[in-house]
Amino acid sequence: MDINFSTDGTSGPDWIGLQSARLANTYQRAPFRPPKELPSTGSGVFTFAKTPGSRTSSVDELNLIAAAEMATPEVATDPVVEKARDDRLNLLAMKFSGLHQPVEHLARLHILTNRLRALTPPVTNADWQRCEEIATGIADRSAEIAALEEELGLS
Amino acid sequence: MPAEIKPLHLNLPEIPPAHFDRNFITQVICEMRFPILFDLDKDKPPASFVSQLRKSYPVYELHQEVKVGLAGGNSHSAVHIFRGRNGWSITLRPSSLVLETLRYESFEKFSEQLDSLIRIAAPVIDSDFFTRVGLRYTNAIPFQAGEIDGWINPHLVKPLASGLFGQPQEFSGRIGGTTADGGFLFSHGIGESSPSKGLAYILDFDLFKEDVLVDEAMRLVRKLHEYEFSMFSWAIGEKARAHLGPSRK
Repeated sequence: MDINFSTDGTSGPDWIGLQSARLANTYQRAPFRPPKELPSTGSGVFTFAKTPGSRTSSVDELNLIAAAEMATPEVATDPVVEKARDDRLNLLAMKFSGLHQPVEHLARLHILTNRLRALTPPVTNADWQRCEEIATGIADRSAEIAALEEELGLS
Repeated sequence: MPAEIKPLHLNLPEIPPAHFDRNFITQVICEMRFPILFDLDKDKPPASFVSQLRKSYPVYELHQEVKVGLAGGNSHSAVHIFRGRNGWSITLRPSSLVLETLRYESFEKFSEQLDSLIRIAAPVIDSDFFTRVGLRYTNAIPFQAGEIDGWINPHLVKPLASGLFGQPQEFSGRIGGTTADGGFLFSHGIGESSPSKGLAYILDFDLFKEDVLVDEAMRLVRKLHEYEFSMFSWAIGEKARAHLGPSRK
């Protein structure tokens, strides 16, 4: 199993890949028991209705879907950002080498850290926009539910 | 009677600017340190930097500086040197920029070169501040053995002038302290002005300040020069003053 660690030091191991591999392992090793509410082929081998094929391929497909849903979008491939990350990593490696670092190294580390914070904020405008869309969606659904409840005399 | 409170900083009287026909200056260096730039640790200096310096500093040299670590790890660092005419040079390292002259004529000329250099370097160093700016003047005041008296302030060379030690080959001192604008290191002692010229008394003034905005650097260097001139004026004796001649300012 390959576990890919990111090179920029800002995110941890490749958790998506790790989790997918673990899930796949679990499904392959554990005795499979289909849930009662799902249809069975009667042959003892379960497949999802919309994904014909072997059990393993279905699970792989599920994993892919889960991975896609859980994946963090690439923050940036801007060369300026990449360069700043590389230089910052170099400086961090020097800082934690235990040797005395001149103030010129620490000053650049400070500059790059602030620059990266500005270039790749943890919450982007797109994230805020998505949150607003979700909030609006929830409000709409709530209004619909309230209307249905009233219509059905449940409120 | 209460004890006299000594001033914290350098407390020499300010001396009005002067310009002499002759001087004792052998070297002037202005070093500006900045947050390290790994891009400068390459075989080629930045193209914009080179193109703007080429006319005044046509000779380029690339050196490799090797630092030997205690744990056995050596590190290499590129040193870009641009040489101009008449003993002027500029040295660019990954975290410092140095203007140097071996033919100092006046502060006006030096500051003109420095101002131009800062303008060229500002976009290259990718920082709006210098971590340290230092201005260093090295003076070599020639003297005959046994005749130091009168050339240097007697407060500095009292043991030499007394004759009690004969004609010593070694004598030196060092004073480090603060100014209202940073710090200073004043080194002095017997040395050689050049192999052909014989003995000289060296007066080495290093004035500096840390954390300086790039836009403020020139104003600071002027102030450091004023401190330096005050210290120099205090450190020399009457014979040296007479050698300098009248000021043209």
